[in-house]
Amino acid sequence: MFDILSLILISIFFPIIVLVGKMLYKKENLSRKLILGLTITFLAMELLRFFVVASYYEGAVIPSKEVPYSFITLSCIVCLFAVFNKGKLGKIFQGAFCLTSLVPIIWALFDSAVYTNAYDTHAVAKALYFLECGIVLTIAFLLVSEQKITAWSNLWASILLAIFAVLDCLVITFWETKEAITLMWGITLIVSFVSIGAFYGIYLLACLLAKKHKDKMIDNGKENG
Amino acid sequence: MVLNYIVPLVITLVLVVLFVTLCTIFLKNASEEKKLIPIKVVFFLLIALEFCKIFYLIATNGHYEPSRYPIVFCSMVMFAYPLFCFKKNRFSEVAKSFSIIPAFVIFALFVGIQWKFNMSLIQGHSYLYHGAMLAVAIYLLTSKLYKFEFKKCFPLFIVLSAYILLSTVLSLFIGGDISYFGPNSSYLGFIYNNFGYVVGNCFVVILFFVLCLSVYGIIALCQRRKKKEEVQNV
Repeated sequence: MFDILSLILISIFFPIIVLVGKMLYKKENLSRKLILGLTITFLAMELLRFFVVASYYEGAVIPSKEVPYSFITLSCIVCLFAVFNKGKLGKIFQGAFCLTSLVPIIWALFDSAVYTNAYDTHAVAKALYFLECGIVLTIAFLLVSEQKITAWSNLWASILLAIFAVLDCLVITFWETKEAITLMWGITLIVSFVSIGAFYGIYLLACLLAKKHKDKMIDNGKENG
Repeated sequence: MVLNYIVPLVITLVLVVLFVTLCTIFLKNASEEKKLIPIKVVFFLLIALEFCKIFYLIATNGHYEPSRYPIVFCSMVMFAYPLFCFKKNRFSEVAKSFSIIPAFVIFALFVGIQWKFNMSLIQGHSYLYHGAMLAVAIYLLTSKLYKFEFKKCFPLFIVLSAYILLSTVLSLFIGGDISYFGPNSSYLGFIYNNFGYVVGNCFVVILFFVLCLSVYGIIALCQRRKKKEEVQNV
């Protein structure tokens, strides 16, 4: 229970702190710099998480069941392409990354195996995972504020999630990470798909509110002369 | 010996020669952007091969060991490709340098020991993997995407040393054997076992320094001599 609470609090407050900081500290190109910084931090943390888990075992030999692989690993790769590729492909990755930014949190909420490890007594790997969830959401919000997300992004995000599902099926089958593809796994996947739509819905709503606010400001300006 | 070593080696070399010849001929008058396309393809091929290898090894062995991480000595060249393939930046030239001499060294080291092993799926993968890096290294030279200059020697040496240092520190941090020249290495393992980690790594760094200096030095001397002859002829 405490884990879930920590995960939710970190995932909510990390983006809030960064975004409020960004609003207060007005500087040119700050958003882009933050995105770059956070992406590199995300990659470093994902690597660190892997090595921390590896260090728990004799000779750093990780048993297949304990390899710290989950959606967040895929998310990290997609994030790199989304941020560093400025072409058409980069925009596709951006949309897919932003809309799937809630998925790592959902997998962690439904299955604690993605971040827990019996040897992780000081909860270092767990803390890293929680912080990464916060970073993913922050990068997604910053990207959304910079770039518009099209309706097609829903398709790219769904494809990304489908790729993960296939990969996870292979991993479950060949690495024998779990006994079987359980009902819970299916439910988590469905909720993840729903989260893509939910994120897009919230994004559209936010855009609508922002537009209304902008129109109101313009009207006020006209009235004041 | 013939089936396990000579046949795969010959096939790899034929593929390398084919790749280099075809790409160089067909892209002779193309722009630099277009000349980089084959390297981009090789980069994605290497990434795919790496993922397949990791997946296959974990599935068959039941565990994942540090000597198979993609940060071992053999994989290091692959990470330099995106730095000059996709967009030119201040690290592009160093990345190109990093993709040439280390690729030759890695291929030579790899080939030098393969007669000991039987052919398997992973062996086939390794021949393709190392061959692809060698092909890119030769292609960079034949397509004139890279020119040897003596001043490029020092950044290359610094990056190489940093890479060796990083893998060593990681090895010590996680308690495993990441570096290819680690205690269980078939090449320089005896240095580690007799003199320890620090001396072993210093030896490898010095070895690379001498190698870079000699290769770039000899090429620079040859270029200077050629220029002198040209001036004299004029």
